[in-house]
Amino acid sequence: MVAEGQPRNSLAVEPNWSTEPTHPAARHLEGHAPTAHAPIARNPTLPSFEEIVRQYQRDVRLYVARFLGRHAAVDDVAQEVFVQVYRSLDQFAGRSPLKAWIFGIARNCVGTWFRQQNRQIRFRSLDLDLDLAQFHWQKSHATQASESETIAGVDSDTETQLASLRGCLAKLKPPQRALVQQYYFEQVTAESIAQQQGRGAGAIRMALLRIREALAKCVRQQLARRSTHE
Amino acid sequence: MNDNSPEKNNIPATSASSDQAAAATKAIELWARHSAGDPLALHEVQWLQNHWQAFPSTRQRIADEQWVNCLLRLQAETPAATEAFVQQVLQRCPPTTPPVDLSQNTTAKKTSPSLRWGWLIAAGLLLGLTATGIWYQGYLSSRRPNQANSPSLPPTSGDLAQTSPTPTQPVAPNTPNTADTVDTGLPTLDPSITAQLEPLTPPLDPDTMRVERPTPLEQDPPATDPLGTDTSGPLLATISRVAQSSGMLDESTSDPGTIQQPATWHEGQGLGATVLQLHSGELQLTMASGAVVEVYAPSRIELVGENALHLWQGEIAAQVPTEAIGFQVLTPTAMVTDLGTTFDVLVDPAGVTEIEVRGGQVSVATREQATQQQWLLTADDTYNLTLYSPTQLINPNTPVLAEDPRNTTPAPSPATSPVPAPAALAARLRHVSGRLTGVVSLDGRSLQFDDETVFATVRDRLFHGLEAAEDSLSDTWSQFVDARTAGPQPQGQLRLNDQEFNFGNFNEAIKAQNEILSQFAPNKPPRPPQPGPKERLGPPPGLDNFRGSLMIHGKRRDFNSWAEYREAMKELLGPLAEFGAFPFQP
Repeated sequence: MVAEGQPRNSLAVEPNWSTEPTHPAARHLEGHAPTAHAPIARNPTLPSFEEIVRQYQRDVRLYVARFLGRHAAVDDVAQEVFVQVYRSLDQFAGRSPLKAWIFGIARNCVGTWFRQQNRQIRFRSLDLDLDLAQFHWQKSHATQASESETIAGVDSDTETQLASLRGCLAKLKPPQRALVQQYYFEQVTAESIAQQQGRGAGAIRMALLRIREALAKCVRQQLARRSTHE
Repeated sequence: MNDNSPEKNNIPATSASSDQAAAATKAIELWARHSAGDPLALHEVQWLQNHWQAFPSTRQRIADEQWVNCLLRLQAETPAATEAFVQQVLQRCPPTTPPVDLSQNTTAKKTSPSLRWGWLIAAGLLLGLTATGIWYQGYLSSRRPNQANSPSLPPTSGDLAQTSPTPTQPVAPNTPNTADTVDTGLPTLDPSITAQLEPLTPPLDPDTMRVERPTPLEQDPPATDPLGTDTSGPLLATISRVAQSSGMLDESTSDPGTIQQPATWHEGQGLGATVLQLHSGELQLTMASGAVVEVYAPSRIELVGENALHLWQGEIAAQVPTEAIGFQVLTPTAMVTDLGTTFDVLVDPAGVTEIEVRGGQVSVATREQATQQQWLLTADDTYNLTLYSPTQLINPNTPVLAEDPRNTTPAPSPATSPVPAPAALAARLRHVSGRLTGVVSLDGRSLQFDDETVFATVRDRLFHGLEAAEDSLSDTWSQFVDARTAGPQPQGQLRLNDQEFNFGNFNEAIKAQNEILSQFAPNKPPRPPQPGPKERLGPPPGLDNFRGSLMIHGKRRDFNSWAEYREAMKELLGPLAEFGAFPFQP
């Protein structure tokens, strides 16, 4: 299961955000916002909506992806998060950090997505991606305080995770690094790489998977080391 | 639960570690193929799902790998791709919104055409009513003022409107109409479209409706409640949020001849002892006691008290403040009592109840007297309970939703069975550590399991035996329980065609069994809802070439057919062959 009726995460400290866009004030603002994405909120120090999207899109997408894995809906759900942020922004009172508030919304959107999926295929689920995603979601329910542990063993922000990743990439052996470079950074397909190297595409994919496994171990260690230093 | 269960003691965690490692490798390889877009065969998908159910470490490995995949993609993303995402978001959040959209929420924006059709249908339904049951419609519009306003049957919308008053102009005496003062923010219909609508149902006989609506409902709503209150008794709950919801119905009955009333509930609306059927969206109720309940469609709930409700089907999430401790949720099989907490309850169409605690504690008791059991669920320990019911005992052709709750006593049990139900119970508990405990019980004799697959196999075998009203099921079960608790673990080998399966205990024997069957019946869904009686014990399809040998505790039997294989199993395994390890595929 299970429903996510209320934000249960400690991140969701802003109590009254609502997925529901019918708040009278919000309607008013939507209808009469005079300029393109001007600061909507009561708090004049709040960045504009566009700035918020640019600033937090990576965090939100990684957050959603941590639950949904490789499910194709990741960017759709992330989009929905920002739509909800937009609709509720006037309710953000600034009592908690903006990022935590956005993550609370993200958590709710992921919960809503799971509920929708569950209804559709709960009883004949042969969707491996959903099955896996469901597993993370349940785990995070079970261990709400340290949700991230079940996903990645980390509780650090996106930038730190990416910095650790870069450190680990540098440690890869040259052929492995070249493979990652081609596949992820130059967006060469596994089939093309396989042709170049005279190997099967399956072997390339398996090699990539092994590299990711090794990287995961490395990034975990790096993050653990960082957190003990701090 | 007793941790010294036979299952726990007899299965050393390391006994099959090498097999496990091999299986994990196979799982990773399957996953790699899947994630590369290579479609897996059905039996491979099932195998993988079964595997990672049993071994969460595999899933953790895959989860980590996927996490790095996300990180790599983010790291490698080009500024243009990032910009595309940002622009998509900004497009969905235009700085100025056309006024026409202001009254609609997210769902409405996305599904606007279908929503409008929903309202057209609702309006058609109301037209039918107005044409034939004026008094009743007048009453309705006074009870649900916003409904009269929202699907908005326009005052001059064609022939029907000319011959019958509209809901906003009720002719029924003593039915004050408050509709005009309530703004629901719901879309209104184009009068020209409404005029073309035919009533979707045959005209109703007012007498029929009179029967459907008992006399107390014909009284005027209390004048003190300007928003309209669906109460035929004391106020039990108030709607505190209506989110992305539309096309909801209430107070429907199982009688196919009765018409279901589209209800457009609104915030602040009071509810009495009613049945709410939510077809889409979400609804938040605040019980009179203070408990806050989110209801997710599709659901059917019945308010049965100030601090209690009956969940017939669907999903709810409850948040219970201190003053409402003791809040109860009844399901067809369970009674959930809150002890100050946040929890979810789900009842699926087969009547399976799942309860998950997200904070605090709840107590869960079975409602069947004969299998009286009670559990305490806590968020940081055993947090999830699934209670299975032999649904076929209720009646396979009667889903829970079709029952009319009003015909039942406040605490009905699933003993609406055609036969006196043996006292069977199956429950699965999940611990935060991922540990799982399954209990299967018949006539007071129960067994515990710590493996999901084995638990499910035995459970299904027992339930199907109940369904088929198998002779001497109780004795067979009893012998099985004895053999499991006192007898030796089956150790041996199963050779089938070119394959070889070794097993060192009961669990592994069952899994070997399932593995074979999944290969021989790869296109069979894992658990069809209604297998034909008796047939399920027959051989799976595609068993033309079924040859091999079975060796248990040094005794070897060869077999050349499915039937011989079954005989060998029975001979070598004794009572253990009857449940699970017996060639059985539900």
